[in-house]
Amino acid sequence: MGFPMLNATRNVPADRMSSSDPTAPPNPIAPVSKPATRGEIPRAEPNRPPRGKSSRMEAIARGESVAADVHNALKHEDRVLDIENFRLWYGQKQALFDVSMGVPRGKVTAIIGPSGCGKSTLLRCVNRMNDLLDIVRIEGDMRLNGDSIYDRKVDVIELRKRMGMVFQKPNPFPMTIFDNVVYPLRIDGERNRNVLAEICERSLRGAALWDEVKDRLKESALGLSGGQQQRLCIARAIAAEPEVLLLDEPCSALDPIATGKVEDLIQELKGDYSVLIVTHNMQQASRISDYTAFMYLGRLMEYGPTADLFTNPHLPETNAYVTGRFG
Amino acid sequence: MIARGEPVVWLTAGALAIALFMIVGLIALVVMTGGSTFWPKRLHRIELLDGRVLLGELTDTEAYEFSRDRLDALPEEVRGAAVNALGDQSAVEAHRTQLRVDNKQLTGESYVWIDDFLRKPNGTSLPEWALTIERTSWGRFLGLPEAFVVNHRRLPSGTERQLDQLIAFLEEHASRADDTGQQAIAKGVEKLREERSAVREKGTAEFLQTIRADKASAERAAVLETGDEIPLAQVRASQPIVAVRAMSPGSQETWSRFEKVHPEVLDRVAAIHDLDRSGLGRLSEGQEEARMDVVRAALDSEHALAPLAQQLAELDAVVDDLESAAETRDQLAAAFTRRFGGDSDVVHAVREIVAELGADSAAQRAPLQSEIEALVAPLSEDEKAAVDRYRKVVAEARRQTVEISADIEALRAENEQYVLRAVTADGQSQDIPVAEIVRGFPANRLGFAERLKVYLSRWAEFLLAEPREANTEGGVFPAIWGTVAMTLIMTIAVVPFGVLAALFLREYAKAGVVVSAVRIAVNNLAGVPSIVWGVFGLGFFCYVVGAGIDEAFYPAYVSENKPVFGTGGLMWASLTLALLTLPVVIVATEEALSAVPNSMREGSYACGASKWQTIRRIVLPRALPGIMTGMILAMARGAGEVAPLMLVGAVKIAPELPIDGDAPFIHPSRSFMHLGFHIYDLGFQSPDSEAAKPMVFTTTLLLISLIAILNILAIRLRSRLRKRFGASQF
Repeated sequence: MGFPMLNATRNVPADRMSSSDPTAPPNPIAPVSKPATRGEIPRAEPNRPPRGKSSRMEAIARGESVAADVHNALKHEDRVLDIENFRLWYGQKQALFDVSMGVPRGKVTAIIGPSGCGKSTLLRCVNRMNDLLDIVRIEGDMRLNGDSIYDRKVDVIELRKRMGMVFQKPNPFPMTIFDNVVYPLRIDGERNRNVLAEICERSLRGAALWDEVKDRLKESALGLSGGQQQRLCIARAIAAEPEVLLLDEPCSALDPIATGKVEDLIQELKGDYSVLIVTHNMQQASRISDYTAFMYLGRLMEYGPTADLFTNPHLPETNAYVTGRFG
Repeated sequence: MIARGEPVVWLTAGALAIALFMIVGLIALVVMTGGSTFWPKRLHRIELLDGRVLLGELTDTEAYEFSRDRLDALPEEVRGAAVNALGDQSAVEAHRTQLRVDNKQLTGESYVWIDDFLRKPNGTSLPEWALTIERTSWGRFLGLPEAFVVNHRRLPSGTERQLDQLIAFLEEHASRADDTGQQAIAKGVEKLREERSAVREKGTAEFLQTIRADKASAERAAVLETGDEIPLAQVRASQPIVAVRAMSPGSQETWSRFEKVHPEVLDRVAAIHDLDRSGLGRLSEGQEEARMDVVRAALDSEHALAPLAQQLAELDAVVDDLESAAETRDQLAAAFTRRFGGDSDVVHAVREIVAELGADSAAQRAPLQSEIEALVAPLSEDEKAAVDRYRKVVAEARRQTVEISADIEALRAENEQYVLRAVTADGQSQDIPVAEIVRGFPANRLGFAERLKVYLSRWAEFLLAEPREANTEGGVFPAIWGTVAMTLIMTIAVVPFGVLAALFLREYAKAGVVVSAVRIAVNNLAGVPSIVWGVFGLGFFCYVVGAGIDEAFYPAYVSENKPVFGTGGLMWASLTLALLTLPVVIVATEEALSAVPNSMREGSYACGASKWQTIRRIVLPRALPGIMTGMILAMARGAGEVAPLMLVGAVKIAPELPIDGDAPFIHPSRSFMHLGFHIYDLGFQSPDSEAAKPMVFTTTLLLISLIAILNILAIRLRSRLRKRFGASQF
């Protein structure tokens, strides 16, 4: 099954929201692909619905609100995270429109959608990373195990400690492997070397990296390969036993073998952790996730069990996207 | 070709080549000139047609145009040679040679230019024994050794000295006795004289015996009390010999004797210097401290304590002198009793005289004592305590000064025995005390190894010794010390300050107009001329902050008009340079901070780190190599800066090091010497700039090396940090 859009989107900064410069003017409605000048085949305008346009897509393009299609299977799940009517603006530009979804406990939930659909933005809102941008304004709320995330009284730092986050590009800190893994504990004030060593081993084992690095914990983390670095970041993310693990396209900077290892790891983490993963790679979503949400232009379009969403989507737009007819 | 961009390659490469050429040229000039200054050169003896004979080092040659109209300026004797050189042309290219002749006190100039056509044919030679002698004063002496002179002094024995004292006492005070007493005294004096000449003759005989035993010295003459000299062979022990002058003529003999004596003489010179510095220097420091205590006590007193204390100390001195004179008289009386028996007429007369003198001195002392009491009476307890402490310190210092001066005098007298007699190329004889010779060597006899030894010893002196002769000779150690101390204190001040400022600008401040304006302002500060910073430092640090500190903590010094911090000093110079280099550190740090990838910060925030934790644990370590780069740039800039230092603390000669072994070890208020200022001073402020030129280059070489060393140390530190914290852009 070919996904021509995948090749096209690779050339675009995969997601502006997670790009390394928070001061760059964010453009949530980024072009879906490079402008047509580059390729020979003229492509659809990003904000226009694709060929075989549906009325729903036309409505979205006009800026109207459209209800998401949430499968019934989700209603029976125990939810660790609730997103409630979440809206977000970058300056004047609205990037998320009334997103409501629940993330099931102990499962892997993938968010897919074309570039600029707001999936990374949504993910970064879960641990309030978007607070770092001055121009962001939000409405609505999220709840982590019933606790409001956006309440005024919430201590953001404590909140972030309850979640682990892994970014698109591996970002190990310029320190030793050991120090990297125990960083969340260190900043929390843990000094006991035994405790730290124990957690370091547990996290590295959890991230399936222990056997590769156990003899060089005192070496710089920057000497690891890309895949190892990303698994190290996962180890760091799970070191503080978070309630939710947020993965923002964790494999987009990795080669296929490293990607395979990280995917295996995500499979293993399932059950112990609730994983919310943003991915561009639909095959990856179909391989590793239990549930998949499809987003489009800042709206949640369809949300359901992965198998259903990929093989038997309720919406024709979802079908068009997962079969690669637009993107 | 233009399309392929090759002309641009040539242009760019050319620009680089010119830049490289200039840098390499400058460094080569400094290294070659500075490095060769200390190499001992041969001494050439050059005879001129006008009869002059010169001895010196060849330092330079040049070609110039000699024209007919300059003939008249030449002396009569050489005009013929000049005319010959000209031939029938109106101008001719002539060559001339520069000779470093030194002997400035004789000729008035250290360097002379000689026209080559004035040189006698075959008139140039390298005299075997030509000496280069570096002296503590008057610069170098170039000449030939003539003789080594030793003045053996005859030291009178203790008995002889006591007899002298007794005779002098009787002769001085005889008039006080009555007639019978005077007769007894006259007899006594005669007896003592006889005794003295016997003692003296015996001593002289022994002295002559030891002198005669030393057969090596060729020409010897005894020096009599009258100043006459008679050959040693004709001298008899009965003659009043003060010393024997032994002359060892002959170059070889002179030189070997000099070399034998010189080290011990230098040791004594060093000992004298030590006594002077640590003995007398410390005493006067102690007195000054005690005086400042008095001044401090005077601040809240209606009495003018300082002059009062001084007056009291002077009165004390007079009383002390009277007391010690009485003591001496008692001792003399005892000596008379021992010599003449208790009831001889002389002793009776002496006792009467002593009693009379004692009554006199008591009469003198009484009003002094009451004057002292009257002066002290109105003082309060505290004031009295301070004044008494000062009097005690002064009295103690007076006693110790006498002792130390006696030690110094003894050492000096011993050194003064040795004199090197040398003769200049044109036949003037010169007596050079060996104690004044720092270093001497027969320049034309040295092999390569010996030359190297002289070269290294000159470098060692340059690096480790203090300057002498208005900085043109000797070492520059205080300047090196001052430069390093100032640079380090500056670095310690500027780096944390600059890093904090940059952290706020980059990490905390919201980007906007204000931040941009601040950033532009900071960048512009880097372009402010350094002299402006100097003026600012003087006006702000010295006259505002320093004066404030003085007001608060050193009111006594202020009242004496001797500011401590209210004038230039190490701390103010360091802080002024810290301000000067602050923009460099801020800009470099900001760049280093902005080069830290945001993904690092996000990763840290996502782990639940606060902003400060992120900065401290992630951003700063990662930016550290870049911050170090800023530090290195700041050090390089600061260490070489001179203009502001001239206003805020660098001085030509600093009596004390700003960091030394005396508590509290770092003296931030002291002024200091600086290599850059030293260069300026040598090159443009010294009386003989031609003679100072080589030293200018040497000092420049040293300054450049010092900055290079500081930078290399910092760069090594940076590369270690970089290894620890991973790759960086710098």
